Amino acid sequence: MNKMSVSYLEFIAAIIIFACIVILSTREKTTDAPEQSQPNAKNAAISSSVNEKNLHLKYSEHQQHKRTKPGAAVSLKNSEPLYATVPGVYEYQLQLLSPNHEGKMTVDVSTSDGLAIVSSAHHFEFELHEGGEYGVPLTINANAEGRFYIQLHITITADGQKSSRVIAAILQVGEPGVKAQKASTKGAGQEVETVISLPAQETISPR
Amino acid sequence: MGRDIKTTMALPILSWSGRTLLVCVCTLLLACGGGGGGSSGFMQASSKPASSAGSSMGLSDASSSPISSSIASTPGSSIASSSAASSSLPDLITLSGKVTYDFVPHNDNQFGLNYSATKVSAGRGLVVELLDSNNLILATTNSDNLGNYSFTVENNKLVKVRVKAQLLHTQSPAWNFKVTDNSDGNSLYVMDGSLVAASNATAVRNLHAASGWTGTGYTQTRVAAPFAILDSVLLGVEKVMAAGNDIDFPSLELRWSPKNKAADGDLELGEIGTSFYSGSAIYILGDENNDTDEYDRHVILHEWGHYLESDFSRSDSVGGDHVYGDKLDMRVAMSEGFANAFSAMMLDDPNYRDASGLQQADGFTNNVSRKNHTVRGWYSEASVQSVLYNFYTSNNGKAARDFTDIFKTLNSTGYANNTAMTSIYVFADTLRNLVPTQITNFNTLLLEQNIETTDAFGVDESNSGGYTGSLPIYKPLPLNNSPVNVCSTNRFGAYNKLAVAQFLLLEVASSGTYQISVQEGIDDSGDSDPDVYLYRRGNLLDFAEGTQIDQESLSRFLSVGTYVLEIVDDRAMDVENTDEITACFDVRALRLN
Repeated sequence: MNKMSVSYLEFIAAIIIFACIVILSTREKTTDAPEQSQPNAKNAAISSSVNEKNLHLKYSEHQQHKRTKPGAAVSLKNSEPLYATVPGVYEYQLQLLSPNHEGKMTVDVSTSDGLAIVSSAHHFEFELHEGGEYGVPLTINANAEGRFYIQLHITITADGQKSSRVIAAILQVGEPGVKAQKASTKGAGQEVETVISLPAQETISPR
Repeated sequence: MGRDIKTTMALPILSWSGRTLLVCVCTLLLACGGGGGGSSGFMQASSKPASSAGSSMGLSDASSSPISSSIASTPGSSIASSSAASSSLPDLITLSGKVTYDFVPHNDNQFGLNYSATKVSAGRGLVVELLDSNNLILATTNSDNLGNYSFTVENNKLVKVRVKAQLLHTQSPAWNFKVTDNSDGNSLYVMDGSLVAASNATAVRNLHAASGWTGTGYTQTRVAAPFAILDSVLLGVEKVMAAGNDIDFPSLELRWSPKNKAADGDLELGEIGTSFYSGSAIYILGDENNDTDEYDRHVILHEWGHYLESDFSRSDSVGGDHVYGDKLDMRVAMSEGFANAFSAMMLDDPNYRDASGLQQADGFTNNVSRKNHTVRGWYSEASVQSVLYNFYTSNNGKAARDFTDIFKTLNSTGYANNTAMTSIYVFADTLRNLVPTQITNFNTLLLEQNIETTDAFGVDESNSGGYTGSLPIYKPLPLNNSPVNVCSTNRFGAYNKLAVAQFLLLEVASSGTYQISVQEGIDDSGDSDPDVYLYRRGNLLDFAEGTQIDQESLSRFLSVGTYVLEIVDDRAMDVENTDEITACFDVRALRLN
């Protein structure tokens, strides 16, 4: 008998082992990634279309604006944070813009903890007009360093319809804090899901 | 005489021990390939680590969920089967319960939330895990339509129940929606029960997510918010499925935090500006006494409608602020009108409501079904929502409150691959082709909103919105260098309002390199800054955003086909510019070679 020959059964067994390994590997991949949508022609076509669009979007901010919820047509003229180097009392004039040419706008001002409005007026009313710029003068007392917010609750009534929007101006007192870096928990070849545990109101009883 | 040479396969000979090893390996592999639980909740011997904040081990998003009510597909052997090889089977009991959350409705006859009417609602379709004392996942299941879940667990084993703020469906059509905290590394919200030994005495464990409201404020943890958000999403999923969807929903995170406030700044600090869809995630306000949206179902479904439009259909919207009464860019009017109508359809409630203010007692409402608007037309969000919602509720030759025709239209290649930019015209034209029996019904609704019943390009539309320069909606651009004059203006508002963008149509009959040039005409509006965007079937192919005053140009190889050119004056795009701008440009196109 030729020393180099192998029994037919052993050869079949080797094939079976190889097939098992391949099947298990495929199943693990399927199990590990069940959230991936199974591609279909429509998804692939749309995905391809979106990807092509996204490739170009990174060069242009056009079409990058958010799809927002409806709300009153009003915005801060300058949304950049206000800065104060140290705690103290400061005067600000917040400028609001509205494209509405007619109607009435009311503004109620409040602040986050750490700020207080020193000026007497917290409520403002405006008749809307062309040009659409409205000043909200405030004197603010910031009693500590940190990042604070001046909240404007705005209501516009025009054409018999009421709409509202809340806008918050940012006031940074002192240097911005350094963001805490989370320790990386990524294992080799693993994505990590971190959770925020919220307490359940749990009732436990016998069956 | 030749000698017969017998050839055999040159493989190594296995010894007796090798053959024995081979047989054992085969047996082991076959054993590993089978098994798994037949019903929800068999405890796993090869348990997975549970995800936890700051944990050094954690589940990938993928591995956390081969979830279904049956976990037969979960790899790993159950303790029952491994124990069978040694001694007697473990004593197993059934541990079950119900998941609920606080839902706070709106007031009926006034603005704001009605905390006194808070009701306990079922937490449906949520991922529920059984964890041991080391936070290892022993079993996973989904809560059913009544919020019920069930596990089989070893008697006396220390376990706790975890409900994830996650809707997961792994069978096609699949979905995976999570609520995460953008102010905490996009961590997933979960609700945890107590670690208690499983026994018949502790077999029923009901977990309730409380709102955190204690009468005058949120003085306790707002556990219910993520689950309220997801239940709104599930309403949408159910309706879309009932409309005949068979496509997997792309995974989506909805990001909510009590820190999410109406300041435009760092998303990681909760400075999200407003609730919005970013194209990859939905951000939701949660700032108590200012603006919270977790219980504003129309808001949640409005944003989810943008996701649906983007991922199941097509939207060319440029986004931006919008409100009832605006005259908008037609792409924005379509997108926002659809999202408003969609939210009303999913809830079967035409009253879009958004609570805000002190104790969430204020806000506003908008009746989506309303037809009488001062501003009506193809540029009106209010008109688009009215047409779509009233078509939805109509029983004129169709079933009332049936989303099928609308979904079929949006999901069609005729809509997604249309040459025209998305607008109510494209929707109408596509629906008329798909559902000819509804032509009259839909056209009537369009005409009521001063929208011409014409083709996808709005040809022969006569409603100019008060500015003649907005018509025709698409100006044909010849390819012989003849100028076409278009004007970009911010008279109706900046960026995404009517007539900021002007559209031209290029019909390319032969491939070649074409140059498009834009030059301000004889009427000087000051230092204009024209920008050019070239599209094909809604895809942005190229653009020119140079800083040259009064002129811009773009050269590109174009194959045969129809293209849309968008021209804007960058000054009209600037929301901080309060000067009224109307800049008129001569646009030319010429084949170079």
